Amino acid sequence: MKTGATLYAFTNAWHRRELTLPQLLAKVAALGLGPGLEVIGYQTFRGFPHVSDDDAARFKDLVAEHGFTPSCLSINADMAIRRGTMMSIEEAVAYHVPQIEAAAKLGFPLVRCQFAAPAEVLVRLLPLAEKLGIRMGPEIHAPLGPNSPPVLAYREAYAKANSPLLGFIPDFGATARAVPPSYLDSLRAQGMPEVLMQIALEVWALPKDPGFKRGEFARRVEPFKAPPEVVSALSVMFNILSPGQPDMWDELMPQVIHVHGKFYDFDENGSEPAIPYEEILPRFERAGYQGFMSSEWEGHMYSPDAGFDFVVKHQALARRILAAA
Amino acid sequence: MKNTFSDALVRLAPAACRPGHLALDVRLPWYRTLPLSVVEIAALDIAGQAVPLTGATLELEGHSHALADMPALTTVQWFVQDSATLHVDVAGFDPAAAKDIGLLVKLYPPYIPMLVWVTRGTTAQEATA
Repeated sequence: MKTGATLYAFTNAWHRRELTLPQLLAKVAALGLGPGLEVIGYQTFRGFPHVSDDDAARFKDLVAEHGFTPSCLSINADMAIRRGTMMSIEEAVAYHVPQIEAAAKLGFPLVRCQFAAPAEVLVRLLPLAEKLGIRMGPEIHAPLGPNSPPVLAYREAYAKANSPLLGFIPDFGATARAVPPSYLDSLRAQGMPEVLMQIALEVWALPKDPGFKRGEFARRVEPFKAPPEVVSALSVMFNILSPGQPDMWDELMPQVIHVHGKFYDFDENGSEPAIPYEEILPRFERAGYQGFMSSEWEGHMYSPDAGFDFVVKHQALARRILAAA
Repeated sequence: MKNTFSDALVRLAPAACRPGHLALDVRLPWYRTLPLSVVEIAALDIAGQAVPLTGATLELEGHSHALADMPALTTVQWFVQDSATLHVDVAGFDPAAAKDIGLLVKLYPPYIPMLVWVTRGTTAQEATA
């Protein structure tokens, strides 16, 4: 497994306009957070999926200057771009085409897709992917797992298509052992009642889907007459992380094309309290996975930190585990 | 409850304000660029009093869009680092006395069809930001 970073980890600095793209890439390089570099097209490039020749050339020059290896371009399946109406398969294919072309133009070897688009969309995009030499795979993000219905539908379609360009991108937030303590602390700081948080944590640990958990949580807190925004704020945890077991990734290993190393915080030993990297990473090593893991700090969901120090710590943790694996 | 974008959501745009006309600098409360079709400027209040958004417009990259037209604007992108300017005619509005303005923005992230992301911010944040 090779390490790298996604610029998504630095969302706070980017959103606050603290750095230009050249400055951001220079900082990521100076901190040694490559060599893998992942970018979200709709976050980084103005006008995406249109990328001008000049913008593509400048980006590739920066990548070369800093010694990055483009690992993954995250693209989006914006199926509900018309509120309340889903795109047809044909529209979705057309929506993906320029994004995949942008990936090739920017020098990325693969694209992160999303389960919002049915598997048929990716299968129909195979001729374009073959022409451009781009691999494609949806991100298996919490609350999904390898045997969730949308993932099973993809696996079935992949078996028929039988293409090495089709794969999956595990996100380790789907194999969490806890809700991040720092996230809970941020809720406490806003006055979230402890009793409601404890009920939410009990519900989070149930082996159920988020829809069930939201309903169950609402039922259990009903006697407390909690305001809707409080219930909503706590219900977020049912979607961002799910308590899957690390061995659930095993059956997908041959089809893993990229990895999102999701993380939030570290304990005094440098371990991630919410996600058991010590159990997860050796499984990927033993399976022979040789692609990249993007360090994906998502603490910006509740913390104003710029993210750089967190990614440094994450890669130190990964190196420690991988060296011993 | 605040989210990570609440404190940066809205600022007064004093250069564009005039008597009877409020202008606000608004940031997109999301991590990536979105089309205006999935952005809803949902509610405005001044000193705790709701202000109608009838006739309000959102100015983005030099183009003015009526809020009522936004659901159809699937190809107009709000780049994540850009500010937009919300223009609202408010009877009796006095720029010199403007304070405690609250804005509620709803997003419908188009790749998560069931999610509505609600962010409220106030210009009171300017004193502490």
